[in-house]
Amino acid sequence: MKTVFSDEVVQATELKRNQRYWLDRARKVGGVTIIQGKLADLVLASRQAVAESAQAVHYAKMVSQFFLEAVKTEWELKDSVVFPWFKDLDGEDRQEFYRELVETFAGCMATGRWDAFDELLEDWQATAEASRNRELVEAWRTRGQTEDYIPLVVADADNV
Amino acid sequence: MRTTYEVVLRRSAKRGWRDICARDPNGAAETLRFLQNTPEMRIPGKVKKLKGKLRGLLQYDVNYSDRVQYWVDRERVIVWVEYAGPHP
Repeated sequence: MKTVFSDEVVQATELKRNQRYWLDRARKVGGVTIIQGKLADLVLASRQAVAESAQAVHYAKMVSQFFLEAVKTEWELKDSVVFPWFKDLDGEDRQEFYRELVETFAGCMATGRWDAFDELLEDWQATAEASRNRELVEAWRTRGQTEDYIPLVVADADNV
Repeated sequence: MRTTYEVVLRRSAKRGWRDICARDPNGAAETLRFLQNTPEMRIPGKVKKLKGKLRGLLQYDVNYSDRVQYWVDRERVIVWVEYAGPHP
């Protein structure tokens, strides 16, 4: 399995002698491990790659903790510590959320871009909060009857 | 040519919108401009697409506590605002 770092290694003294070569090499192959005496605990790596890895780990922890919560309750999760708003979704919406969470997570892992994952969580949190609003749910159910609407204007409070 | 949407408000949301106008007139004006011009534009942290049973609704956060929830009728070029007010 390919990991973030290649097996390429460099002695600290060699790194000092040929800095430019090894810095370019690290950029090219993704990372070079530095050996100093008996230690090989440092690496030269792209800042972007390290940031992306850290981000992936953050989201992976979040998703695994959430699914652990769900599995522990045999998929009858009511209260989630990871996503406290989850409790406001009904059964069908919960199933949809599980599915979208996994699909989006897999997609983001493949691309290394996490915007879609952030959007997904924002959207579902807003959905859960909106689901608590009975006025909205009823309005959505009976939407589009022209006589129920007036033009939206911005005016002094008395004139709206 | 740029499309300008007609924006209509559910009568039951009138009071909520009036309160927003009183609390945050600039935010209200900005909201109306957004709904008229770019109601489907995604702005991270500001515009959300509701899902599940509410799929089709969008949410625009006017400020930290107020929001409007609406849907866009592209064919009739109308934005229908179903709710305006604070977090329920």
